[in-house]
Amino acid sequence: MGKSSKDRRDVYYRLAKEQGWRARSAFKLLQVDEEFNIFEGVTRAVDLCAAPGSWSQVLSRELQKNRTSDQKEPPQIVAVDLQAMAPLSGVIQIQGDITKLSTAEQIVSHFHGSQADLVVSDGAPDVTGLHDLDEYIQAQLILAALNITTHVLRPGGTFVAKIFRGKDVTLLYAQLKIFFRTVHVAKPRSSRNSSIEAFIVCLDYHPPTDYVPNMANPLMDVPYDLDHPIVGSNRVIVPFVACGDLRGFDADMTYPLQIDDSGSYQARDPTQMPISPPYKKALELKRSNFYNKGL
Amino acid sequence: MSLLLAVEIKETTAYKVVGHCAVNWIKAAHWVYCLQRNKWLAVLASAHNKAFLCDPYTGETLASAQCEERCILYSAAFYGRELDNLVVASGTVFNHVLLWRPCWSEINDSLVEKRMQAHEGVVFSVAFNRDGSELVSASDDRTLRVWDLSKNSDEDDCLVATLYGHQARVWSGIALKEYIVSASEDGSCRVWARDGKNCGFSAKDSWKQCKKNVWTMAVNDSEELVVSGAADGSICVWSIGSIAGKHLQTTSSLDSIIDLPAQADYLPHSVAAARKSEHIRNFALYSCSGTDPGIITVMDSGCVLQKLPKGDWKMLCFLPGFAGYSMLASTLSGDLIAVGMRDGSVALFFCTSASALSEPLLKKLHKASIQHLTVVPVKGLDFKNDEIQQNTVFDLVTSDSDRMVVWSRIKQVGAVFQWHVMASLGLPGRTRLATAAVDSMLGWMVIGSQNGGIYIFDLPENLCNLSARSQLDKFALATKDAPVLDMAVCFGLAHSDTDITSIILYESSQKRLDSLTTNQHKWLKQSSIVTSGRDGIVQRFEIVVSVQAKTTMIVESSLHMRKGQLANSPLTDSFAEIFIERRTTERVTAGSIGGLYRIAEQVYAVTFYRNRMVIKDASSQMELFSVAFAERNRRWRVHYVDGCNSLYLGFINKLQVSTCPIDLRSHLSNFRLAPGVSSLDIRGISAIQVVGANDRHIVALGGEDCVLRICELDESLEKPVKCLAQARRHSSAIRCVLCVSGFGNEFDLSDQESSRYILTAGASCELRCWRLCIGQQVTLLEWAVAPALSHDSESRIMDLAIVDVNHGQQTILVAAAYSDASICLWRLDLAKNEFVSVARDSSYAHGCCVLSLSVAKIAAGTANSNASDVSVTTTLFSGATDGRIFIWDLSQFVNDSRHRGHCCPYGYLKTIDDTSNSREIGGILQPVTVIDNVHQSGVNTIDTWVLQGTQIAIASGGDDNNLSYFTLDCADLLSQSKDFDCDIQRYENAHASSVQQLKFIDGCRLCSVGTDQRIAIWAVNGSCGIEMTFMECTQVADPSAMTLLLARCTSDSSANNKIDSVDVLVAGIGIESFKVKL
Repeated sequence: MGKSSKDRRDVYYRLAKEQGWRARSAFKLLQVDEEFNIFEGVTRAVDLCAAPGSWSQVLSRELQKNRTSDQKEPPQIVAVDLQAMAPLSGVIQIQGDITKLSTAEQIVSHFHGSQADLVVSDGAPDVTGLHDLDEYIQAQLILAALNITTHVLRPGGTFVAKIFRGKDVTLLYAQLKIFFRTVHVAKPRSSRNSSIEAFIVCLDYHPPTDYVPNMANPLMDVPYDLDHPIVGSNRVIVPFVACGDLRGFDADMTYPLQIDDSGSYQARDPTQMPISPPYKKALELKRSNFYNKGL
Repeated sequence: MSLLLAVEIKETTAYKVVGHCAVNWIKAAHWVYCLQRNKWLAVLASAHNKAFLCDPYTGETLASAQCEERCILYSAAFYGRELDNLVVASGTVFNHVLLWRPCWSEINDSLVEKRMQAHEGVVFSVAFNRDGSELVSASDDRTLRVWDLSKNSDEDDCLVATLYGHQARVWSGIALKEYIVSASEDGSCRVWARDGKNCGFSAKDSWKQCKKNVWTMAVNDSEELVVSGAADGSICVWSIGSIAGKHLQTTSSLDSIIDLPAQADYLPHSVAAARKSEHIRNFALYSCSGTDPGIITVMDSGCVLQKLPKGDWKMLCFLPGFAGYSMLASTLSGDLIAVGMRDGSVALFFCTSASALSEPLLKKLHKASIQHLTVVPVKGLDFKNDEIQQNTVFDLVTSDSDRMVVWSRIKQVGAVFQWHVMASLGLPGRTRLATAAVDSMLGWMVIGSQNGGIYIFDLPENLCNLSARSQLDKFALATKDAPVLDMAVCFGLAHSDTDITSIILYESSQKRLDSLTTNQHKWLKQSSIVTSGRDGIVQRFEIVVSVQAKTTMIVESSLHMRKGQLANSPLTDSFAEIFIERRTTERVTAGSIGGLYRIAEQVYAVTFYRNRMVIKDASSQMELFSVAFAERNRRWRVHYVDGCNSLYLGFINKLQVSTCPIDLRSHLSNFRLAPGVSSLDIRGISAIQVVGANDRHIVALGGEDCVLRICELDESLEKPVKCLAQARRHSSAIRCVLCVSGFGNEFDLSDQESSRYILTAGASCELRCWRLCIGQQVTLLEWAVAPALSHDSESRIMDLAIVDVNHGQQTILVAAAYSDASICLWRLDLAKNEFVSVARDSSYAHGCCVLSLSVAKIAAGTANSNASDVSVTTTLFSGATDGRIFIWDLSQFVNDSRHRGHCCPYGYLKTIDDTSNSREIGGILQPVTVIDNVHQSGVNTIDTWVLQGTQIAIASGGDDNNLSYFTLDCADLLSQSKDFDCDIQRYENAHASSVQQLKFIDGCRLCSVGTDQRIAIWAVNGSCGIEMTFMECTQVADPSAMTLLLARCTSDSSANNKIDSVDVLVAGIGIESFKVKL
């Protein structure tokens, strides 16, 4: 399989490279915005689990458009990730842990004490293939993102995060509904139909009146197991919204390499290579023929 | 959120199970003794780095302890059996390993005692050694790290070792007294041994279990056996003792390396002076009185040297004819060694007495240089009343560069060796012999060619039966006087166009019940052939002779069978046909196979891949031995003496011979306790109805691992899944599997009732047909492959639907949905083993990836009894990622195909395409109508049901969690050209996430499964809407396929075949079956 193979199978992967996005997920945020106008009036935004930075790229580009002529201050965007990320202009980077209070304080200090209008999180664990575990870790990641969001988001603000629509997803919906007046689950057309990934779009942040933000798990534990599935009227139903223009590209479709008349196809390298993946050393060993020498 | 099950075993056999519902993911569970309470309690570690103390008898939580480091864990482990000395190790998502002691306080956090930071990825597993002095952690960074806990400091220096070796993530590690064993995503376990002195570790073994993901391991108390469990459901038992000497870095690290003497020591001075250098041309191992084999080497100079295990080298003979060229073959035990020369002569060395080799016997058999020799002992002849002893009769097959093949026989009679030419063989065309097998008892000679062909010769009875001494004189002493044998049958390109490297011929254990068995001809027994090739594949064939003068037989040669006639032993009274039928084909290595050896009914394969030689058990594919060794330009030999426990392997390297024994028993201590089902996600499942066995659940499964498997689900659950057969031909993931039954095949030699066809399709546009026979033996063979469409091979086939099955003509029409937005109609001709594209939606009407298909057939004019006149209205429904459903009319294609039979009505437009032999066709599909907004996003699944008359019910499940249902009148649909309007009923949020699969049980009931791991049964009714009648959770994660087996009411025969219950089989990561009473 050549370099163009993935380009053929995944049109958004190719478009991301052509348009200079660091990852194809940039389109997902753009398509969520198309449906929900999440960027409207936003001047302060936080990107959690930002690496490699495609959502920060989208934020920095789209929030510029909100800037009116009389407004001098540029939009403020803070990107947080545990991993190092290649720098982006107009984006303040914090290499830190979203489960730490200090990180929340750092974010707020960058906004000079103000709170954010929008918090987005495209974080996902490196999937292991054990679905239950992956969904659990993903849910924990969202809860961690939600915890820090309760510290940094202004009332009425918006929270967008990636979720896995697995077995326990209704439980997550129930928990999010405590904090937001409106919760939708959005499936952008740039997210593959075959993927269990979707995005929760939580509008109008409105925590319970007696709620004091803290970093410990604030969420209710709903007793839930296989003997008592949440079904029928007990089930929390969150409206499903497919977003993105139907006339746009389809993530599942295989396109020919020549998709329009704008010149010939050209294979491109990814915009930004991973900076320090966990398997970095193993990869170096592989290049030095270590694994062929062994057993 | 997990469940703890505590099992209390009483003095009697009774036990009690106590459930404990924890509120978080449990990463570790451990028994601990509480002195205060004077009883055993359970401790659990949750993914929030919190420990819980529980009473296993009640399930009640007694105390908890939160570690000060509040973060998510991927792993945890406990050490200590007393509550007061309990230690927790936790592996975090932030790459750290923490050691802490629970203080069992609700108020105070427990402090971290030691923080071990070195991993560059999340820590998937932590494990203590037996005395708690050491910890081994496994990580995303592909390493295991060993930590010394005995150093009582929290410094970083407790990292003892970092173990690299796995090529994917490491899921689990265990620390044993002498070894570290790990399990990984790469499908293998690895063993590292401790180097006594400097606390180092060295890689010792690698156990390949499956394609992807060995999740977990356990070890017995004596640390001799490790059991590993993998994602394919397989469980393997590995003997740690079996690793000694199994994996070698180079052949020079072998136990026994023998250097040759300097050439001046054995060569005549005149020869030695003229030669600059000397090396070993060829060699053989032969059995001696001791266990170790003796060695014979043929030197480049033409010298033959011999070495006894404990003696020195000595020169056996000097034959200038051997100089610079020698081909060599020996029997497996080495008692006869044959060396072929450039001038066509063959020299034989007999190693009958343990100590001394006789002088060679020399004969000029060929006119051109010898290219290949095969020598085998003749067994089982009637040796009674004869001076000939067993093991002293040999058959020799030689071939030369002029493609001449000679069969000769060598006998020892008293002290005299007799060598007779039996026959020469006529190979067709440009065929060159690569290997041969001969068995006079069975009456066959089988020749494998350099271009993958198998040629079978029947041996005349008079040549085979030659036990009496008096008969010997009748045979030719020279090649020119020998009879010429003709080929009976050939199977060309059996191993594509690669060398056949080995052929094993033995009497078939399979007893046939059908009419093809014969015992009339004594020398032609039903035989099995096992072949290996450079293509890395092992295949098994059966040779069958039919002696009846059967005129009705319509058995023709087909993809897996070739027909011929006895060529050299014509029967006077009847007509004999001979068939060679391929039974199994299995890839043993990604590289090539050098040879096969059948020892005590087991077949061992010598394989070469990536500069390593690996010896495997060909059936279980377990590795016996591996060594770094490239096959190019280097010779190796396998030596085995009957009844021994070990096999000897020999290698040469210029002036060195190295040998090593391989214990054949060692791999028997490594075995597969439970077979695997599918090592990756199952994407397609199709139930196979077995006639007269309603409760046999046989299913065909295909998934991400590209393997098609035929499995049986046992209702008793004692053996939940048994894999009956499997085959791997797909090069990428299989997405759909469909079973087509009901063919009684005249051309099927095996059990005629039970053969059926399976269609599989998946990525890279692959569409294949398989034939499955469930008889005495289950056989699964690839039957046809769809040619690549010329447009885009990156497209995936997303779904298949059977459009029409024509039993008379043995054809199947099948529709395939492609990810490039097209739909293609294929015609499968079973007799010709080919797929032909009949029609194509060349306009890409959907404009986005097509996800699902369903076919509805309405037979019009059913009053007419003449079946061939019934015009069938066939409509195809297709759903795509944009939520629209298209409707297509395929009636024309179905009816044309039925009526006109083999001559295709459209005329093939053969496109001469150099890159692919694709044949495209002029038939064009055009949609009749389109229904918008059935779903918000992808239509994952559609099913149809024909109601009364021309009414069709259509149900679909979408990515938007919804279920849609509508009916339409097919007659109206096809007659109206204007916009079509239909009333869609929706059940919103039918599942909590996307609906993956949906099937009609009958006209008013549906079964669905979703990513939310629920299966549901819905009542649908035109007026009353959709209503859920049943829901159950499945344990199968990511359920993406489902098939139904309907059990009809047997007690009440009058009830219009009322459906009584349905077996729902759900597949995803695993399979689960549900019996639902309706």
